[in-house]
Amino acid sequence: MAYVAVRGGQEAIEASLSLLAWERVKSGACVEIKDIADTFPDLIDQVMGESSLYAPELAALALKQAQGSCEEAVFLLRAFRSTLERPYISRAVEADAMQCARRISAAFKDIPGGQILGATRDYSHRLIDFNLRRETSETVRELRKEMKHIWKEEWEEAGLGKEDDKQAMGKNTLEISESDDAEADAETEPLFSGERLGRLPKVADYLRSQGLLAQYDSDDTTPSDATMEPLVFPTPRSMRLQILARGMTQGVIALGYAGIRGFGLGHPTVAELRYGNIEIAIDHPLGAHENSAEKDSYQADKGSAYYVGAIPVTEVEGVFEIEVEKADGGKEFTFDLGYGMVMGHGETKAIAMSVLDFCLRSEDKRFPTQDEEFVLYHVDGIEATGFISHLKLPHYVTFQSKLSSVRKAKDLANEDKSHAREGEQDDKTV
Amino acid sequence: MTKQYNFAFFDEASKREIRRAIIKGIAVPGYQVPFASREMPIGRGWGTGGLQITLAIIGKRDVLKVIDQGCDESVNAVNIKKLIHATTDVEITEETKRASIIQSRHRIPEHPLEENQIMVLQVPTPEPLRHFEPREAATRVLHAQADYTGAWLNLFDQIVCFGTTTTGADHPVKVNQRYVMAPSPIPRFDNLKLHQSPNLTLFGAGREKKIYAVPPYTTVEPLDFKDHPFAVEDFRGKQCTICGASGVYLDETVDEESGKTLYRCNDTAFCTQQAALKGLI
Amino acid sequence: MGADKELHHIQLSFRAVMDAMARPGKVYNLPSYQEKRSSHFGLEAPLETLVKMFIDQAVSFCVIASEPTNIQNAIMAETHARATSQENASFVVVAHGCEKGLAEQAIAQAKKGSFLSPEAGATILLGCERLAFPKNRDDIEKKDASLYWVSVEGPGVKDSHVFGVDYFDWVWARKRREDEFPCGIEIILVDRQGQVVAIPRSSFLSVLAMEEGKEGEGTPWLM
Repeated sequence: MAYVAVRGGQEAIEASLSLLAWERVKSGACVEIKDIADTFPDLIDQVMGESSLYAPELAALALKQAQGSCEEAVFLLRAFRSTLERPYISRAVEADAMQCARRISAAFKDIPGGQILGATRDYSHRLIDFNLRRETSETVRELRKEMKHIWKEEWEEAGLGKEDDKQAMGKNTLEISESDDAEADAETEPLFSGERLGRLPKVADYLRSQGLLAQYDSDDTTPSDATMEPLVFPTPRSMRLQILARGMTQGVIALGYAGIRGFGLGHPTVAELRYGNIEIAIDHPLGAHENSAEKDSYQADKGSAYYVGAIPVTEVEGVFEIEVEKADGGKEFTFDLGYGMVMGHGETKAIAMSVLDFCLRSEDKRFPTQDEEFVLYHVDGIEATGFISHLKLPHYVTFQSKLSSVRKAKDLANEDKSHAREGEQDDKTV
Repeated sequence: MTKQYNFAFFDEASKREIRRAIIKGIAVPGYQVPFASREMPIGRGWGTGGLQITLAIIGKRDVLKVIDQGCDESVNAVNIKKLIHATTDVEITEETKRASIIQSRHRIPEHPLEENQIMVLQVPTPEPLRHFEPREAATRVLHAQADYTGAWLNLFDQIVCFGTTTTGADHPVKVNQRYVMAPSPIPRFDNLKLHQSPNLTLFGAGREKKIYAVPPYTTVEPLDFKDHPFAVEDFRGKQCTICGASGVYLDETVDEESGKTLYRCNDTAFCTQQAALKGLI
Repeated sequence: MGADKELHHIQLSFRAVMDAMARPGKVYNLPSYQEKRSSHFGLEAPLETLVKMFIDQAVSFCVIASEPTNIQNAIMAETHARATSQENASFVVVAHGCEKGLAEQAIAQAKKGSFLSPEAGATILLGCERLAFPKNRDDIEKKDASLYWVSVEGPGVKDSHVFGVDYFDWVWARKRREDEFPCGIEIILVDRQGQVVAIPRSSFLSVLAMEEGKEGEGTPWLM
């Protein structure tokens, strides 16, 4: 009977959990956490980004537990994040100090500092590589060694390859050492040795210097945190950006696509997309307390900060054409920026985010992509999947209540009909 | 588990955030206090609002009852209970009158609640005006101005079209003569239990990030019209086939053999207790 | 006190405060600490408990005391909360033994929130010398120069709740604000023994007093 389905819940859940545990082990195969982290870095990035928690090892663990379900892994990490105290706020990160592994501009061919194509699938053929079927740890190590030797020779031919001239070409520093131990050097090395590249100027700064970008005052307001503050509309831009950055990757992409396809404000030009490591620093925790006026203490203690590490991010600045009113009342065209930044390597999401950032700042609200409630409420993976899946819960009480209303309305309608029929007959007899 | 979780799952800062919202919610009855809803180890839309409230208020000495759709053994109720128990070790009960905190989805128990009990209701959609106004910013203004024309028109519209209001569960109520409030999808039958109740009722909407409250001894009136008074679900002439109770909220089931419609108490703990009292089980 | 012990202490204290807010005018007790210890905020232990219950990096606060600076700094260092002026603070902490004028001023100037966001109205954590729960009507009518009886009505109150408090100027300060509901402030009174009474903005207060010289037979009248 339908009623029985919800009773005996305890036993049903226990049995279901055993089945779930069985699903995870039934093949008899096991993959190490480290292997997940090393072989699926893009998936790890996506999970960390949507969870807004930088923790590669935990992301890999969550993926293992979730049997590869990204949605579930994000769920696990987000719930874990809820239990963590967050006593410090980092200093604002400056993306122009990023150590870029990749940096491209769709706006200018020659950009100051040069384009860095880096590792990208953009110009690869999406053909399944059947050779990977035969790949083993040994063949991977062999291939790795071989590639290093080839590059070393190329560098030496080009007069490079000296210690201070090392330049990485992949995610890890290319160490030209004969002791070839994959475990040892895949650890926590920085993306680059760093010093050599230094800061790369922002393309947007060039546009700004040319007077081609809309001018804004620098805004140093403490950013709002959607996970620590209530969501109240209209939201500050910092909160919008945060919600987009931790939004469902495919959800943000779908809405960003709608924004450029016709349900939004048009087609941007990617002024700059950069991917690389940025450094995180926090102010001296006691220093900040000496002074109640926040800004002053920030200035006063600028010298004393702690470097806590570096994380990889993807940053996008998209340029949109806008119409502005001139002082004389006439109109002119200029450019404005849409901004996107996501944790790890997530280029499509970062671009889509920059589109939505621009759309959401617009005054006119013709399209749903410009409506912050529409966009922000629905891109969050935990909320969307949670509410969609809650439809699986029993709704017997509410349905019974609805049933009662519908029956009452139907009865009333039938009564009316029979009254009307009686009325008709009365008419005839008259 | 190698990672030990905090007592009641949350860190203390999360509890403070929820506690602050609860205090403001009690102080402004029926007003939806926005709060920084935390992510939970159960799904958003599966009772995270109620769960956050329960975890923020619960202590070692509490006795907890959790029901889903009137039933203590429903899968979701069991799941929520398991999580709370695992992180607090509190005593769990099915007996309504023994519980100090009752977390529920869609029902208020049949057994009348007392002053020392706290009712926590899980809310999927806290905004009673959402039917006709999808935007949060706009509904906030309506609440600020106490402009409830839309809510009344909505009911009026139903009467014009169907001759009766067609709200099912979640029939809007006015609290303390000020705020129109969604009582969560409790049946209309339970709406009346909120009025001047001796217990505190807390409402939590995790996904929509709102907490609100009805303090004890507070006026709660379902929206209705003089010529179309509020009516609860009609179970006249029907009684529970198990315990024989009438005047309670009943579930409709079908007897597979005879094809006849049968009724049973929706509140299973109440039903069991009644049946035991009558020596039926 | 260990972190775990403190966690449970705060939880029990919160329940007392929540019950107090749900039943305005009823006197509740914060659980007492097992070991006696001095507060490191420079506040009375019960008031410190309220501070730890509510104040952290997500909110702003203000301390009203004859020497507020040290208390304020101690709270900032431990909770990471932002100190601000009494007009802007979400929580206004009025220390025990603070000059009455300052307390009244704090109540007068505390922020009231807005119709759109009534929850932005301040919470005043108000230290007082003594709170009392009348066991019966005789208690109220008995002449006790050090206690004033305040009657509370509104949501959470069946008929009326009466409690005793050592001074009542805060009642006038609250009344003079003339906040239009849902705007307003919450006041949580706490005495040195850890008794609490909460007054949400939805409550109506009146001070009961005895007419001089009519001891025993007088009826309470509203001031």
